[in-house]
Amino acid sequence: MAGLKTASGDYIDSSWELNVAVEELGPEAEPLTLRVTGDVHIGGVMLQIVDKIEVKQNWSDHALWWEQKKLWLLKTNWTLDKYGLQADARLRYTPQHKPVRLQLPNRRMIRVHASFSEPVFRAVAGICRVLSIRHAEELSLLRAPEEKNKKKRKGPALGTEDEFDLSGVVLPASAEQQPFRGMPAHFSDSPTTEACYRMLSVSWTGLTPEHVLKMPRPSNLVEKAQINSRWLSSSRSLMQQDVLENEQLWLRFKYYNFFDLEPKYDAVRITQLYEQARWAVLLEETESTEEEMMVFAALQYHINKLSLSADPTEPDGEQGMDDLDSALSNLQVKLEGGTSTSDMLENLTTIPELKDYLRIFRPRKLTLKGYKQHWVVFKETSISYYKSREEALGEPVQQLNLKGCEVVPDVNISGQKFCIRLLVPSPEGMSEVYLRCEDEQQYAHWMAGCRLAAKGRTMADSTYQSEVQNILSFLQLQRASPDMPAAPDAEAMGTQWLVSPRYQKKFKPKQLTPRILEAHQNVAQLSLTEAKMRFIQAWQSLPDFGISYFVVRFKGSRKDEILGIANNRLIRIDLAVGDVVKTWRYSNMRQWNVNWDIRQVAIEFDEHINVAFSSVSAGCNIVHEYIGGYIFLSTRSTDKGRGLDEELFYKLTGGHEAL
Amino acid sequence: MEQTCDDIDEMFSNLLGEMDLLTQSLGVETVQPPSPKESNKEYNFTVGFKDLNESLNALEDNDLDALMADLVADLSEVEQKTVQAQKTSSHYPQSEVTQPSTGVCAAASYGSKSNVPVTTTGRFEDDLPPPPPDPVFDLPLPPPPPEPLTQEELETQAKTDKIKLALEKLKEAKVKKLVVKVHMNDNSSKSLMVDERQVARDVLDNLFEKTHCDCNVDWCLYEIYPELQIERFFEDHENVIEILSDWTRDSENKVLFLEKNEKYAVFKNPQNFYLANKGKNEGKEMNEKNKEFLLEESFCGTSIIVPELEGALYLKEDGKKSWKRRYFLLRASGIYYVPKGKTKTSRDLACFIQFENLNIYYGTQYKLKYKAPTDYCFVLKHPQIQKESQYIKYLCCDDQWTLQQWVTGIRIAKYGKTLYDNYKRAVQRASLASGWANLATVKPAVTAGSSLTGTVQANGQILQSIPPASLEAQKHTEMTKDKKPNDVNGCRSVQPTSQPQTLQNKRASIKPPPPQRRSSAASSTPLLPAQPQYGSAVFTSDPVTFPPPPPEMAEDLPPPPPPDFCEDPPDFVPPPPPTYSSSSEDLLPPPPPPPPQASVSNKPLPATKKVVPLPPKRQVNTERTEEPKSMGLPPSGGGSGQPDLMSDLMKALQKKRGNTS
Repeated sequence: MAGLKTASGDYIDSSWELNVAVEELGPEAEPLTLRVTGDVHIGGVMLQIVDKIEVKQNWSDHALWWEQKKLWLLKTNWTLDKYGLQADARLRYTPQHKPVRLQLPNRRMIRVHASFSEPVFRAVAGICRVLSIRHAEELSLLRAPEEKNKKKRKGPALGTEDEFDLSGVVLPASAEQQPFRGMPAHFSDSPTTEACYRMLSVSWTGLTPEHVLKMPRPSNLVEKAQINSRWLSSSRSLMQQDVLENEQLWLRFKYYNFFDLEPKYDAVRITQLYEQARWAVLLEETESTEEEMMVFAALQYHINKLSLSADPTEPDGEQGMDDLDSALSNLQVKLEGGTSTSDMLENLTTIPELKDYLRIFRPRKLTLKGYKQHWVVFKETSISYYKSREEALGEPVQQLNLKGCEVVPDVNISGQKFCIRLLVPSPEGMSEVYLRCEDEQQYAHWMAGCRLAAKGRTMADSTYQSEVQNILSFLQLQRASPDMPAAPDAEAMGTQWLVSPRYQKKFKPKQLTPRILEAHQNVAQLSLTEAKMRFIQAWQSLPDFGISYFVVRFKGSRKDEILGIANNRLIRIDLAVGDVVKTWRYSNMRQWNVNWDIRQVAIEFDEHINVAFSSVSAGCNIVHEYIGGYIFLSTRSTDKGRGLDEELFYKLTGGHEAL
Repeated sequence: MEQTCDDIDEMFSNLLGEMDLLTQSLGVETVQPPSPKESNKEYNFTVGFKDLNESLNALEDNDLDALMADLVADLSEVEQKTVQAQKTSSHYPQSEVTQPSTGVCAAASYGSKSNVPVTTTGRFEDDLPPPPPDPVFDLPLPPPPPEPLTQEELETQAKTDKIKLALEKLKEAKVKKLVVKVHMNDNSSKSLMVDERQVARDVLDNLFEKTHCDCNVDWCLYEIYPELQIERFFEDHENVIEILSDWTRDSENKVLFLEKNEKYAVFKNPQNFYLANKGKNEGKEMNEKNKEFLLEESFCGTSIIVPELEGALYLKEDGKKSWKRRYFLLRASGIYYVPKGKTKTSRDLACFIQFENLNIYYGTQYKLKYKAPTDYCFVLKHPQIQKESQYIKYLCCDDQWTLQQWVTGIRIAKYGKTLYDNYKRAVQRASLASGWANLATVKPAVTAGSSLTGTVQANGQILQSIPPASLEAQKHTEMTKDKKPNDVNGCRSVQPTSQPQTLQNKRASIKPPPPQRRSSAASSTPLLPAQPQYGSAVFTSDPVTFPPPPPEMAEDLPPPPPPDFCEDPPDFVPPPPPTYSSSSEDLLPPPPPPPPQASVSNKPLPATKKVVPLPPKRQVNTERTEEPKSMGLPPSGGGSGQPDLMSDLMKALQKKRGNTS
């Protein structure tokens, strides 16, 4: 033991005093002073500390942190000398796991324990395990933006209010998580964690237009590049990056390369991805056209509606029946000897029809005629109309087969106008016909019939009734007057919040709703998960999808430019105009280097194309990690059992620190 | 099981439709200026493809022949399917039977060449004396194969009634068919039957059979609208009848069969579309691996990637012959343009058109017709529009390459991954064809040999494109040939082991047999002496795919009295060891030439564990074939197997009940 001394009090061995701060003793407490020699092991030091503290608790998560060097002394068999530790070192004896406040992709806050001693890559993997998000390598942590504009967001800005606490959750030791009552077992401990799981796996339905308006929106490429300066380095620990306990961090999908999205296992992952996509669309981080925005709005509306009644513990879809069961029931049908065919036949004979007086208008050039009353019969996929009911036995005035036609709602509730505009194809072109209904009920039935007929289906189709209901509930939306305060019921909230602020300004609610309604007809039959997947896919097919922007300066150039990093390519973009100047693909990449001294990234492509740039808007290590990360992700194999090659990740992304 | 049932359902409806059509077209052939009212009536309610009366009248003699051949081919295919279905239905029981490996060895190899008369042994021999009736007559009778199962049930009666009802319904729900005249690039044309379930790929496969072209992926069906001067190729997944039914009655539209490199250019050189730099024409080479990678990335992700495409195009103004230049962009959601005075950022774009309910066509010679700036035009219109209309959009590109990029890009945006799947299927088909071409050397011999036997030989021509397998099989059939005469036991065990053929047949049935098949109808007059030779010749070509021997072959076995054969089946229940009983020798036809490679024979056997007796090919009449099944091999084969299947089912059901309760 170090600390031999003579009677006069002089130490005769080469021991010296080591100061260790222990948080558990209180903020004002003096650091502990230990007498050590250079050949004491770290483990021995920690034992001494625990002896000295004389507080009984579990110290197993604690480790020594060397403040000046920003270094965890985790190798307990190393001696102080080996670490190069001397008397001037300030050490802290502190837990390796600390709580942080995480803002999830859905903009909700959650408290979780994160590892402050392992590289962020691992810390994220740990967090994702708690949240049950697979493929944690696609996510990472950002620092929250500094809140300069605090005055701007008064009131309940999203992402500050109600926190969910998962910091107490204990994960089962086994890697394989057994679902319990439809959710990962560790969520089923208490009602609060169950609520938390609902928050994670069902998208939030309480959104208002104000929420969207309050969020900061990037207005140009430079602003879009800002966010990327805040990514934490994956190969260093949170502690090393000066993250404090309880600090707010953002958890986001960082790499836009989503591997093996599987509704069966990925309830949380798909939901969070959908949320990130939704916000990217709403805040115009990923730009879309008007038409695309309407599709996104319709999908959001649909998802929102389904989420209201969604039970996260019930698996969505029809995987309830296993193969044997389905095979057997199929077999039974077969054994019944053609019942299915006769059923089908019965169905065929009992296709519902619609018959009613409607007003019809056929726009023609130079015509002044308006709507005219007709007796209209809707049978299978055709509409026939007659001058009167009595003539219905004879030849119709006209018969229209709606298969392949375009159906557009033309509705104004306050004006009590319920029109269906049909563009019916014929060899000569499209003929335009308006059907005017009397009220909502009539409209909903005819409209639903028209939509199905356009897809070549009849009203015997099982989706007919739900289609009618969809239309009615959508009309309800429109009925809600815009000046009503946002009701808790999403149904009554209007449609403004479904589109980005730009389109909120551009359209009045009564213009917007019919357009969303029109887009909605194509998605109305999707299940919740399907709708989310469709949203993600539509997002992925936007040209701007998956590009992370950085302001850079290319070697030999005098002006700032934008470098876009996507999952398969690098894009050089003109900062002023936004035009793509040049694209390089990773598949042509030979190697890349970082000159850490001059902070320059140099990349060599096939055919001796060399590109070098320095990063202006973000650290050059972030750019480096982004590129390396994508290359790492492209090495993932479809073999599910195979774990990730973490070493390779650090090698590709870490830069000199990792080596 | 479910599979089987489906097959059978389909098969029956096929069969029923086929028969009707066959009788009609027979009529057509005999009444030479072919316009039999009846047959036309049939067609008239199908689809307004031209006037069918007219189209039939217009057919040349040879067309009719071809059509006939087609029909007969279809018919015999159906026959084959029936046979298969029976086999598959009895397939479970058979597989349960474990056979001594030695016995199997001889038997299986035997089975694979089961079209040799002996293979069928005596089981069917009862049927032989009266030449098999024309399949047409048998048709109304056949009880569906699932029946044996239902018989096990208590309420058999009710169920058979239901089945009858179902059959009647099936008959009613006849498949819509159309005679389509397809123009070849040598100005000739071919007429073929297209049924309403067929997609362009099926029709192409049909045409491949008929034309002996190289079957490469560029072949396509190409529709031409002379009036609008537009044309396009059908995508392989498109339903042909559906497309044709959009044509008007008096339409001058045509369908062509030709090669178009554009069809799958994007998959052959994806880099030209995905990596091309603006303004650069067809790019550089890329190695195959990178191409594959690029395709994988573009078509196999969560969402497909539409090639980035933008540029100035000319748009024809409505109703005028003037063209306006605009800047267009392609996105997955549609074509957009940049409104005047706006930038091309997403939010400013105006939607020009979305792809739902739209087809894309090439416009030809628009410089002349519409004063277009160039002849590189494409047209977007609703498939149903057939006349000039304001709803047709005309666009004009600066050059050929731009045109191709746009057309391809739009197709990718519209069809997505389907396009890639189509391509993969086309490649598969092409490689099959080339594999078959390698076998071509063998083929002449086949035809020569088979020509000896005239009528029957057609069987040999079920041209299979499973080259390596067939070669293998060929070898081993040849070896078995010599065993056959010596080995009665082997011969008997053939029944259980002949399954390999079923499997092969199943594969074979993917492609319709060639037209010549029709001659099988007349096959009841066998050329006795030639028979063995015929057999061997055919085998060399492709023994595995052989249909089971036509019953008449039994006549080749003069010495053995039929009763002997009848008794056989029960005996061989446990496949006996391969002792060669000399008695069988007399029964068998003259031994074929000595076996070249006997050693190979063992190999194929392991694969042949599922074994089913091969009923004679012409046994369209299911009733008849079933009889032997239930009576002929009650203990070992169908008899014992049936209960097995049922007990399996019971187990499964119990399990299910256990789960639910």
